Amino acid sequence: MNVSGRSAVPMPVSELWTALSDPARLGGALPHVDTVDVRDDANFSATSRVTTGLGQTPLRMDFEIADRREGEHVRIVGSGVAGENEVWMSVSLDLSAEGDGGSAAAWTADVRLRGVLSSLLQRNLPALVADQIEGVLLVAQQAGSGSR
Amino acid sequence: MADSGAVHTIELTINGEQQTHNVMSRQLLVHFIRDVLGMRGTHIGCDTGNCGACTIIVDGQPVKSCMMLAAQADGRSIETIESLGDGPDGLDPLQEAFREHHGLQCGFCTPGVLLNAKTLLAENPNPSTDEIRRALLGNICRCTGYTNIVKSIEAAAAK
Amino acid sequence: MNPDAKTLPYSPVEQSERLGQWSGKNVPRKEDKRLLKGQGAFVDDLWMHRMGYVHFVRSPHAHARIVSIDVSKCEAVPGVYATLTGKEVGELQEPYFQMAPEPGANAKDYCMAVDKARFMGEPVVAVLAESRELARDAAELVEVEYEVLPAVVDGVATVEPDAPIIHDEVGSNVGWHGVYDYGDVDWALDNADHVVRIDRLHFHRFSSAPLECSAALVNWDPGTGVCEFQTNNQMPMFAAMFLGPAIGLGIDHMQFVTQDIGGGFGIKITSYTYLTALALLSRKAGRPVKWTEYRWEHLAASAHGNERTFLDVEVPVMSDGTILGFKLRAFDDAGAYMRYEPLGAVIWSQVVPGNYRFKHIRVDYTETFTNKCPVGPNRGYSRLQHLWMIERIVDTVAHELGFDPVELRKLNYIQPEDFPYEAPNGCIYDSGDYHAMLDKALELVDYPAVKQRKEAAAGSGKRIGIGIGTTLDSGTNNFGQSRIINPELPFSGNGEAAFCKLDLYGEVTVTLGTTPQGQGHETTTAQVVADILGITPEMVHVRAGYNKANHTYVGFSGTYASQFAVTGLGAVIGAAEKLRGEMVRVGAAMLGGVDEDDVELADGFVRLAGNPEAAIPFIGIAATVFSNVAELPGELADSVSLNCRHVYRPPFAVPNSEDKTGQLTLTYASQVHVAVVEVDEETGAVELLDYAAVDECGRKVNPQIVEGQVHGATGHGIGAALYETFNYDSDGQLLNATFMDYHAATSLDVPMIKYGDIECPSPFTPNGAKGMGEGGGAPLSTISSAIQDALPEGAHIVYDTHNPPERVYDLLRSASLGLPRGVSVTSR
Repeated sequence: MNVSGRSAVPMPVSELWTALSDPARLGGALPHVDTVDVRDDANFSATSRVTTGLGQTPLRMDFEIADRREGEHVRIVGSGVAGENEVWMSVSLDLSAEGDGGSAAAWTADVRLRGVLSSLLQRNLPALVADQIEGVLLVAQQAGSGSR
Repeated sequence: MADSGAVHTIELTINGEQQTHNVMSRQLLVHFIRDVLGMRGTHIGCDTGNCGACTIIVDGQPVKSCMMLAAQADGRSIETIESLGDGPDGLDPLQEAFREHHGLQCGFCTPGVLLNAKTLLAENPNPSTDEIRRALLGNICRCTGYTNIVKSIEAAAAK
Repeated sequence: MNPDAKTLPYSPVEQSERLGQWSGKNVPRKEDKRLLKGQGAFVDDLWMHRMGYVHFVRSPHAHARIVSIDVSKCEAVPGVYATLTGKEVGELQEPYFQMAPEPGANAKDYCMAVDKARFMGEPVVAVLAESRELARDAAELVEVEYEVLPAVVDGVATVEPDAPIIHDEVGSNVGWHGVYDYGDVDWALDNADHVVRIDRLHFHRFSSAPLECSAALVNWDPGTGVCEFQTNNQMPMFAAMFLGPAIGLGIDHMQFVTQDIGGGFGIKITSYTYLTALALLSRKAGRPVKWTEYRWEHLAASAHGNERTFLDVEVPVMSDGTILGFKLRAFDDAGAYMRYEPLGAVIWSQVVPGNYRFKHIRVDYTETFTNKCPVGPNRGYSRLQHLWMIERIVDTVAHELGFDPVELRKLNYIQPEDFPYEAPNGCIYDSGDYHAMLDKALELVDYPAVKQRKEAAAGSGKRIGIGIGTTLDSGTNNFGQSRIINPELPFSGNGEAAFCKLDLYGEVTVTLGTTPQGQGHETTTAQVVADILGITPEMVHVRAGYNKANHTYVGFSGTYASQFAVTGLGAVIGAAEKLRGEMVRVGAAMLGGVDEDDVELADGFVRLAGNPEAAIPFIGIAATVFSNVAELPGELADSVSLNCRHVYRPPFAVPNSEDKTGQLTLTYASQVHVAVVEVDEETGAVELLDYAAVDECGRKVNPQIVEGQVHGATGHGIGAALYETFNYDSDGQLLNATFMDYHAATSLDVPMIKYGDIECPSPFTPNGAKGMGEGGGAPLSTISSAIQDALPEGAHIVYDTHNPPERVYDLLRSASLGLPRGVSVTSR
């Protein structure tokens, strides 16, 4: 499933890009995360819990910051397991400066679910994905501005 | 039973009888009724609270017992299908109406339908056909096509 | 054709004169009391000491090679009793017997995925633990490594050379292929006044989805070597014949028990795969194993109804509206494994011309594999698809050539005086009167008033449509038709068994080979036996459910395929008559050696006709034979047991697999439905304003039970037509695997059904009844026809059985967008 969106982030582009392309800070920005394990400057893992219609399912994912273009683009690829289900996603963020000193992040996410989760989540997946990404942008912004 | 999580002591009224039980945190009320109380008339037909086969009456309201935890029944009064009719053989007028008008076939949805109908008729003793059909929205039946269920409830209301 | 004009392959059957006091009446059901009080015994209600609960780890992928499985973490959890992996299954089980000939037969089908998972939800590992929740928790610790393979989900595109191959041993995704050719359709197409061509018709994938999911409590007893299956499988002997050879268990070492089943509708036939896994797990763990399907597992991985695509449909029509026949290519999507297929590839031919006098028919039929849930014989199995297509043809011809839809049908219907009618492939339609049924259905909706209402609605933003659907429910199969798809198969005929006896104190007891799921077998059986033995239905004890050890059975025993009234009751009639005969002979001896012709059974006694004082109660007959037998003459004592078994055998011969002809079903119940719909022009939403269902199924044993079946079949059909479908994405993920998103029809979706009926007794059955219950899927045709009638001129034809608002919306707009219509007409 392809989901896309566009968010305004009140911080300079270069700072936003730095935050998003740093595994430690990106990992820390993921919402509902229980643990983050940074392996190197491009790879990290995280465990979290996803809320479905029936409660919560633990999710374990490995992320790689696959593409970087300084100051303008980040692409993150993640794959993992939630019980018997498998998740794969690729999120591209294109950043640009806004006139007021802030940034705009135009993002697209290609999310693939395999297993009964694909049925349980198919109605709220776009909202879930949008929440996750906007959550990341919010936290990245807060981290960048020194507050958390 | 080896289950993880806390144990809760609950006090509840079950078909008119006050009882005390220990339940696990995540035990669903429907599993408590079926496995712990051993009352098998309440059925499970889905995973998502859509089918109504598990419908019981909690404090006078029809509730899907798969959508409640056993622990949440503390302090409540629940009625299951076993409370209808006198003794092991008696059918009450609502059940008789279903028998007369062939309101059941395989019987799997029937306990849930009966308890839902019972609360409907308690609130609305003379429902229209449309009101009955609307009230049955929470019960899925795959055998009857609903027509005879509606007629059974109309007949029960007329008694 | 009628009985005088031609020689029938089988003759009309003598029908018992004794039936009629209780048969034909609305006797209240014996089953009801326990079901109304929640005292029914459904499989999940059962419990055995030491049992474990099973949870299956299932493939999330539609198509993937299984690289490795690690159960160590799972097995380390305290309370986990055992696991079973596909790798073990590959060693413990022989692949299931396949009904297809080669190369389709080369597909290897096991109870769990062995080398590859071929559909999303296919079981890969079974986990047995001390509680339901623990089994599920521990199952999450199983680690399966998959190598994902591309999936194919289109049942037609799957035969293209670039499609991924699902069964390497088959070499392609074709499970079976054959051409059925009757009459001379090429001549008909050359000589017709018009040829109507329809590009594509599609019958969608849905399920009757019984409210109770599949379940079993299986115990392979190490002491006796007997494996007991307490389960809700609805065709246990068929299950036994498949799973026995697979795991090396003799049929005599299997016990099957069912009692109350929460609906089956054909979906609970192929659960023998799960029973196999449970048996192996029970043997491995040395414990009983209990399994109850979750709803999502039922929707994703039990069985689906057949999905069929019809391409390049060509229909020759004469200028007066006579339709000569049709020619088409059919692709039936069997999913990942054939299981009950390719029987469906021949079963549709029970109704080759539908309800019509078509003579020239060619069907090029391909059974295909896709990475979706395997199909099973869902209610109306294989005939639904064909009959819908035929009604679409008739409806489309009427619309395109400007014929009145009622008159066109009446012209082309088999005429009442033609019965018994021989169809182009040799099937004999026993009786019927479609004209009277159509008139009745139109009357029930007040056809003239609805037509006026339709005109008045023009321009209001709501469009009214009136639709007609004509179908058949062919019942009592000749399993010899399986030889048409594979001449090597050792099946033919049909049969059902019943046992009727007196117990020690004269109590009348009946056991059946059938597995009822709500059809009221206990009640109708009691009615028939009461008639024959001169007692009341209350005095007949029909043992509930099915029990292989205690009841009686033959190879085809079970409840499926609309046949109980003929096969089940045929067996009951035979057994009861045998018992009656013995009771008469014993009674005659006990009454002083009188003539047997002077002895009757009436009012609960065996007595001298015309002398009510000379009467022996049943207890007297039983006590003499069972505990006082020295009082009977020796020859008589040697020849009576008061334990009488009868197998009803319909009069079938083996069909001809060369030209694909023969008598494939004994009875032909029929359905004519009329629907009035209101379509919202803005949203495409369809509301059913009125719905009439007229049914014909021969002589009815219990009219109220029959009407209930008609309502239920109508509910299923309406559900499928407007609300129920399985949505797979291109990765083979089932997107609506729960009742949250698989919209099972609700009480507001199904209108109050107007029911009508006529009776055309079958000359070929012991009681004049016809099998019924599945219905013919008439709502699918009826609603397609009604929506078509509501569409504006120039719209695309209704081409799919499933018409949710988004599809109707597109159809509405197709007219104004000037898009192709899916149909063309060439005329001479």
